[in-house]
Amino acid sequence: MEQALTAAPTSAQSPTLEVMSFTGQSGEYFRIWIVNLCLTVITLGIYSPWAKVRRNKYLYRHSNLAGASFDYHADPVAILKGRLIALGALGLYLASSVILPAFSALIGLAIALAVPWLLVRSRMFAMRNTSYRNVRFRFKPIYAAAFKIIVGRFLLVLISLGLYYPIFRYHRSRMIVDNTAYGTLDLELSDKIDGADFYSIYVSAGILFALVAFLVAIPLFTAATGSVDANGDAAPSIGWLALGPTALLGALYLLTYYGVDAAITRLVLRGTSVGPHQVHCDWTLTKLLWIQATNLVAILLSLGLLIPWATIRMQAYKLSTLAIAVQGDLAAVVAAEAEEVSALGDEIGETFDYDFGL
Amino acid sequence: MRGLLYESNSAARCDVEVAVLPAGNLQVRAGRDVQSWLLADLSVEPRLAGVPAVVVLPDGRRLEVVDADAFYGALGGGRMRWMHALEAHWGLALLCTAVSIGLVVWFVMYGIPLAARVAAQLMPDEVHDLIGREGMDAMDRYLFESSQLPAERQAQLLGVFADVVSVIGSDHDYDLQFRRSEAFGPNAVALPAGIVVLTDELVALAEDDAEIAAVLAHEVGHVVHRHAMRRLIQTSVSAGLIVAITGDVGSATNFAAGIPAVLLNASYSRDFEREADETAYRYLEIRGIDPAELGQLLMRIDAEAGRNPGRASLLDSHPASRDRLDAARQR
Repeated sequence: MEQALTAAPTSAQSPTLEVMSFTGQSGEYFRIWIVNLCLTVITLGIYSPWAKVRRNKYLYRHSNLAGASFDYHADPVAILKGRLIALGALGLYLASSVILPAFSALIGLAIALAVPWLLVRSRMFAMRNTSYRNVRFRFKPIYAAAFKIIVGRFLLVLISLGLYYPIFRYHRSRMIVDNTAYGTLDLELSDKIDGADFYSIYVSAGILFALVAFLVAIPLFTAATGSVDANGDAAPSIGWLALGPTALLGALYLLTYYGVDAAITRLVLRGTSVGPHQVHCDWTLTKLLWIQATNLVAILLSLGLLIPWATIRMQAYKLSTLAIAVQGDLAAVVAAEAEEVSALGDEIGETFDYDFGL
Repeated sequence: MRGLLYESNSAARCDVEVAVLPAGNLQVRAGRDVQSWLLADLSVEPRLAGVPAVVVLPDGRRLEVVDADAFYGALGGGRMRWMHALEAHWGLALLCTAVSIGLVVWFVMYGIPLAARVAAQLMPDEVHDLIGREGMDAMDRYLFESSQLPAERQAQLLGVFADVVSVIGSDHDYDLQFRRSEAFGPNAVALPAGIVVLTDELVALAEDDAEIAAVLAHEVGHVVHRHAMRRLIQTSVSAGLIVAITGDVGSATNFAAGIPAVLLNASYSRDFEREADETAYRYLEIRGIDPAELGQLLMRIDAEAGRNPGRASLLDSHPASRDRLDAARQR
């Protein structure tokens, strides 16, 4: 107590860098994954919420920071209810698009307007069910702000023919980080990060994509189709020869897409602080893309059986290069008042496959 | 056993000594402070490989026992012990792999087509008609123009169609429509409501009415077997199955899942074409027409479109025309 009176409460002592770690193993996770998949298939999908909770519990509990692990607490029954409601809504939408096309446009509009609400509910559910050291994360119910960004700013994206998109992504990321809390500690995205940072990611990705496309893929494409014209060979082989460069362009597009996503996530993580504790992120984009690409090939060649291996490999890399500069003591974090959140928004969002990433 | 006790209202924790007493009590000792609970009052989380045991105390505190083996051993396995037992053995995991693959293959090859057939048959005619008319309206908007066939030619072909329907048609309304379509070319299509559309281009390409009768019989075959509706159901269910298997893993897998989905739908489609061909052959045999008429017209359509009639890839919706002609000649 005497010490606390004389020393300044924070900033005086230097922070300790706590590197995260992942202890999950692919063999172990494969067995959990396949047993739960098998039960899901046997029960015609009814078991899938239990499978999801089991898998997530494994992944969360093997994620460590400063000698303690995370945990996942979602109730499978709540997820099942949410999925059934989502399925009902989807069925209603499909049925109405057949029977009453005018009405289905209305439902489509209603769904579009519900997206901000879904995003918030989904985030609340995910955060509420994540804990570290027995303290839960939270996401604030900011429906109005979410509506302004997801609908209002998205209209600007449409009006600007997409030019506004990086700014839109910036505001969405800021909204997600700034309204998340760990116990009573608020997460905050640094003021130093702004729309210009997002723009530079999109512009450099665009330039890289165009360079490779024009220098490699398109010349290959013309070479492939041109050679057939020259010797006047059978027409169908044009398709097969052009397949290589076309696949190359597709793969290039996919890599660019993942690259942009990873770069944005890294930028946001680097700018994030949890109360006084600053996040550090040392992801190398080329390394991440390499893991992503080889994972994809492995999954395709193994008909999906290597999905668990790919998940563990990616998680291990991402966490081993993530750290928190802890200022003072993590034990001092105080939990917030508990509140119950239903799975409804979470699972409907999943069904409509809306991207809830950073 | 060594354990860590986390507070319920903060991230604070302390080291504790944990013991499971023979009377069915859990004892937690932190220094001189000893507390104990009836195990029945506690929420012991199911065992999970490679991590400490977790117990949630009635007051919301969380107890982690580092030596999970010893702890669950003392408990006799704990809640849902069968789950960890299943997950702990490679033999069982391999069995699950085999069962999963077997079931998925069975669903894809037999289960989904069977369910779609039953569902399409149980569906009231009103639904088929609605979907068929919707489809026709959409195609009229984007694909078709009015036919330029003279009225007497149309009347002739309607006669051929009526004959086909009288021989192989099911208990269903049939409606032959004439359209012109540059995008569609020489083609015919069957919709759920029993609507069969014939393009002017196909009529022009046919050498005689026997060939047109063969094509109409093929399309009526699609209507008899309710293929359009079954395809709609099979496409949605198989997409759902793939999402269920790979679900919530990440975008890389979702992309990878798209490839089998495309292959699967093309394969379903080829099965339908063969089934419709079978029905067409039945009509041709009854009327004494050479089954090869159907194949010959198909070969000419391929030639028109610049396709190789001998080749059908995994991605094609129809079997190779040459195979279909060969199948007809073997009859």
